[in-house]
Amino acid sequence: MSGRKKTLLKVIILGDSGVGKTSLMQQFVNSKFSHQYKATIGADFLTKEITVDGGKQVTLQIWDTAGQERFQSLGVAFYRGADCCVLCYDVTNEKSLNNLASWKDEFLIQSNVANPADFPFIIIGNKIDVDESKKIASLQKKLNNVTSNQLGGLNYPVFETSARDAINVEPAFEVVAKMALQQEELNEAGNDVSDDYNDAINIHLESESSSCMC
Amino acid sequence: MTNSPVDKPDLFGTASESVVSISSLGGNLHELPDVYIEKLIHKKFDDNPVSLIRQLSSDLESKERELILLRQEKFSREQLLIKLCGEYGNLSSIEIDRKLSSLRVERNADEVVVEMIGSAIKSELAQSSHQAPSITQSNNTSLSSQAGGSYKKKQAKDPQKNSDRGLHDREKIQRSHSTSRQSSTWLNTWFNEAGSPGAGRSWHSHSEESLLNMKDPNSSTSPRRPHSRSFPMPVNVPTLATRAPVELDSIDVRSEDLPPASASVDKYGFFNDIKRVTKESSVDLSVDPAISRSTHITTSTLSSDPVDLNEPPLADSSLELPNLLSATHPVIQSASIHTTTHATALPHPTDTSATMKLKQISKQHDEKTQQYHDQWETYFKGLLRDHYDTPTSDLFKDIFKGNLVKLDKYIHPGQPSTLENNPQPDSITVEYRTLHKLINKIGIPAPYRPLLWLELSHAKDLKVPGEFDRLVKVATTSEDPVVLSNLNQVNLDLHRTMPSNVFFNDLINGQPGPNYYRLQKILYAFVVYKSSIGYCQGMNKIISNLLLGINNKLSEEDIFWIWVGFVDDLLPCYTPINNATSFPQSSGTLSNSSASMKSKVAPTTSSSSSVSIGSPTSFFQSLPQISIDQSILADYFFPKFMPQLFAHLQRIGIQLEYITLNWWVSVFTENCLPLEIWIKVFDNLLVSNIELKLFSLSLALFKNFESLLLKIDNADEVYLVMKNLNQNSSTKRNLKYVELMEISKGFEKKIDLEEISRERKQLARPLRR
Repeated sequence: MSGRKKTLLKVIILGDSGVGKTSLMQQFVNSKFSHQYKATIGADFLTKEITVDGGKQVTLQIWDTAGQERFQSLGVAFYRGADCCVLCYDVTNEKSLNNLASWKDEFLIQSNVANPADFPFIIIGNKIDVDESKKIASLQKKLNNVTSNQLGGLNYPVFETSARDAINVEPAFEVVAKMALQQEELNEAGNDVSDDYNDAINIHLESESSSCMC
Repeated sequence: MTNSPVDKPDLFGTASESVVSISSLGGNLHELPDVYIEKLIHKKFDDNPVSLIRQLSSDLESKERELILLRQEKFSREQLLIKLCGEYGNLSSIEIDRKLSSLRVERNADEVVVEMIGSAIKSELAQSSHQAPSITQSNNTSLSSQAGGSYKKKQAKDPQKNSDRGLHDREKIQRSHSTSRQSSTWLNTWFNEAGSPGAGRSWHSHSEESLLNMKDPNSSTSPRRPHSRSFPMPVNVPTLATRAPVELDSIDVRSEDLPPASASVDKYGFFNDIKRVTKESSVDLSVDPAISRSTHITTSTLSSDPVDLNEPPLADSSLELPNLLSATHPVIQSASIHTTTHATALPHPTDTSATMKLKQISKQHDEKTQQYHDQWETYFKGLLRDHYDTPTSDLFKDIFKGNLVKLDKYIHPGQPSTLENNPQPDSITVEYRTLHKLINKIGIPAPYRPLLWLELSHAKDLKVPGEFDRLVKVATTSEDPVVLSNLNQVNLDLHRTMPSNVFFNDLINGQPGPNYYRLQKILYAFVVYKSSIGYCQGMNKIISNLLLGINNKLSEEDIFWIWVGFVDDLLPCYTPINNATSFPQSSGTLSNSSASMKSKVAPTTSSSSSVSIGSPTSFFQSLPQISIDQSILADYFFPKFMPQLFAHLQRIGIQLEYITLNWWVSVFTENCLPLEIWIKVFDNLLVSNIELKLFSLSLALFKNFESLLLKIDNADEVYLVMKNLNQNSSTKRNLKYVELMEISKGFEKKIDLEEISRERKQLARPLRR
């Protein structure tokens, strides 16, 4: 279905201010890192073409958003049509980890996606290049709490990355692309109508599973 | 500064010295009789001609290499020159190209340059060289090397370019020696009015000044240095007479270092020191305040930005070399040495037709600039005469003594926004209109800007002496969680604000620049002062533009109050929509100090969702409403005014609000307008109905690039263009203040505020997405 047209996949990166969203995007798209990124105002995006799932060409449109809380209210404009959402935290900042759930909730509210329960999320813990001493104490345990179904409910793939040293960034986004593609195909299958009426069609396809721990 | 200009008659660095490394062989072997050569071979080369050939050949090679380096060097200088011409002169690259090629001559370039410079030095500099020591003395080399943004980094790396410093010296000498000459650049005239003594406004009008200015961004900061020496004052008090270099003295100013505002501020909100400076300088001003000859060369765009030389050279990335130019001008490339040298050597009064042409152009431009200046002057004179019976000869004395502030009620009769709709037929309105018209035409000339900003933003009324410092102090000790979370965000963003600008991020010394701390104080104070609004990303960008744009002629305290006035009284307010989807806002009522707000509040009716009417929220608390406005802009006004472009962008799948939303929340600073234009747009906003202007200017920016956008068939590319307007040198060049204002004025005439609020009502329902 999406073969005749180049598939555009929209990916939203969310997370507290300063966790490295811009750096991640820049590292993935332009393979560069700078200490001089500007604070993101509003939202911005870059696109990158990659190949997923055995030769399928897709264009990833990666949205880098402002981390300040009040900009979440702009999500209505920016999250529309998203195919995957990256929840980002900073491994040195416990608060940013604890805020992941609210970023997710806010995203679902704002984006008005058709099947919120099955919408693909992925979690990225950035800045693993820093000293072990600076990292959140007993990070793994806390992370498990966040991702466990019972406690945090964020049972999504987790990647630990360093945008500075280009560690794990590419693999993370490959998974993002895969998940986004699945989501896109689902949407196309169930919803040919434009997104004028977001309450119209609520598809429940069981095949979608976003909880593959990679 | 070790290089005296007289010692260094070479515009292009130490090139000639390094090239002329004459080897022991001497250069004239070929002219010697064969016998001597044979003898030479016998004596020096043990009868082995091969080694002679070897040496000759290796000498040749090294000279060749030097030549190549020299060419590269000159080429890169030319590139910079072209770029600066483009930036400050509003010339298109084609025009520059044409001029450069018209300047080419057949003679050996170096010869011509040396000759021209030699005679230029003889005729102009020699007589003033006696001043050099005292002037250079005041110019701390390290400071001047810090002043030029990213450009200076290049310079520091490249010792060859040190002769640029020589240029500065020369320029300074020219400036301080100016009384003996006639007319000056716009920059100097304005500057002289603003506070330099001795430096008269009467110089000989030549393109040399502007070319020198264009050549080196440093030169627009350093010339001020000499003047400051006459007025010893506390380093951390920003003054009219000092610019960047001095400001860098106070690089580690912390809040506690600042003198209490009340001590240095008079009841008009001026620094006492500034008053002193201007008073003294006004002696000179009364001579002939009108003359303003700019040598700023422009052709087709004469009217656009004559005050640009006044503007700070340091915008984000504005100093990067334009790779576009190098790519598109093979002609210039191939002729790099010739064209460069001649373009730069132009000032020498030769009688070539090119020089005449340039003179003509600069004369034309001078006249235009003069016209604007006259208009401003007439305006102020008229105000003073009609309302104050002030003898006009003391006009500028009065203005800079602060008497103009009495004009407040005439300049700003309360509700600028309603003026357009309800014209009052009295003289006050007429005068306000005149001011508006002037600002629309040209922006506020730099010397008037500090004053008029304080006036028009209401900062003068809002300002409470001492309050700013108190607020900063409160912020640093606050335990209020709301304040703290805002301060956290401020702290996160400070080092991410203009990281490529030396005034914010002094990369050379690896520490924050002075504006970093000024911005910090302003934001800290604001977060405490308006805790209901708090800090919103985007403010950092706007305030840093203000700091750079005003060029340290106002203290951070003044900028703070201007900012408060701007946010509180001028930016539109919105009625909150409390529907389920909006992110909980920090609620809190605003102290609406201005009646003008009421007219700006968009009424919202309740509809199917839980829309409720609350007290109006400030612009920066109203992101959801701003987002709705983007829909109105994109889905209503855009198709209405630019149907063809709209259809095109629609077809390739552009979401306009992706572009315009960032413009709005950063008030056109973020990747939108270049600083030198933005600063004038800010002038304009102070006398505009900003609510309307946000719409009209957004439309104007698209209109401005309409033909370009129509040619682009790829959504990514459109985003790339429109989201990087001030980054991309080709779009940057095509942004002209005058044109933008004309286009947006046109839209404003067609936009009805009622229309906007009607559309808002419709969209306030759960967003139809």
